[in-house]
Amino acid sequence: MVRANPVVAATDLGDFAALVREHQAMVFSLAYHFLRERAAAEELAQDVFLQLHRCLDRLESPAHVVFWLRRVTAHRCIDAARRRGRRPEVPLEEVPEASEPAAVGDPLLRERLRKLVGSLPEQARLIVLLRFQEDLEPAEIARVLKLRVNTVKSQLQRALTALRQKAGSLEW
Amino acid sequence: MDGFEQALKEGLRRQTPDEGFAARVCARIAEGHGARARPWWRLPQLRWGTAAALGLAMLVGLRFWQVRQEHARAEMAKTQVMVALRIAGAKMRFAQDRVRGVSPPRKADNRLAGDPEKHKTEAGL
Repeated sequence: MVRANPVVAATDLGDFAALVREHQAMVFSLAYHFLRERAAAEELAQDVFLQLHRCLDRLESPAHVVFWLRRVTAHRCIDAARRRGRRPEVPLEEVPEASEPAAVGDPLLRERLRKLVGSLPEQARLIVLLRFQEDLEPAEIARVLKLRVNTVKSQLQRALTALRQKAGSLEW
Repeated sequence: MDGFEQALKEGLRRQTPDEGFAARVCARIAEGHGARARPWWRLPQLRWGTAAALGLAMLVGLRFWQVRQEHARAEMAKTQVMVALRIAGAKMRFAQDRVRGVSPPRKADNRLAGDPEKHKTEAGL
């Protein structure tokens, strides 16, 4: 008996909308935390899903879809950042330091951390996002970004050190 | 995971896009942005067709080569048979003439009958 591929079955728009709803937060958040702009993130996320719709017949399982979405979103984020050359990254040194200690649940602290992450170089930013937003292990990040595991680990360490130094005055 | 990493995790929590995101994506697909037509050179039918044509061409070529080989072998065999028949005929005539003792062998037949081994070699026998 031939089993229908659940991914390919989503070529029907109704099923595809359900697939989009299932993964929209992941794709949108990666783009939003990377680009730090809602409109640009929404456009990028839409483009990713349009591409997904075109490639559905090549994806074999729901896990493959998730992997594919992360990889394509990551590549598109880097492309978008390079196209937006007119908006250079904010160097870590230029991110204002907190004037007083903040608590972990503080929305201001969260916003400041997001800004700090947004100031990282592109690849390091993606690695931090995949690690802390998507909760991926370095080996999984390496597969998504087609990097060596050691490269991912070292970049992650360097990024965390830089972030800690800049956020040094905050209380944890 | 220490406090800093925990704070980072909180700060980078997933966010939802604006309401109706999926509908907007589907609307763009319905407008034709989604299912882009595959270019003709990437059609699977073309790929299979090309493979089939190549396979067919190889089979035809192989058959043609086999037929040519058979023809060459047949030509060679025919030549050998003809030479063998000529030698046999000459020898028969020579023997007949000797038995009857009527007349000496003809000049041409004598030439053939005189050195049959040479002609066997020439014919590849």
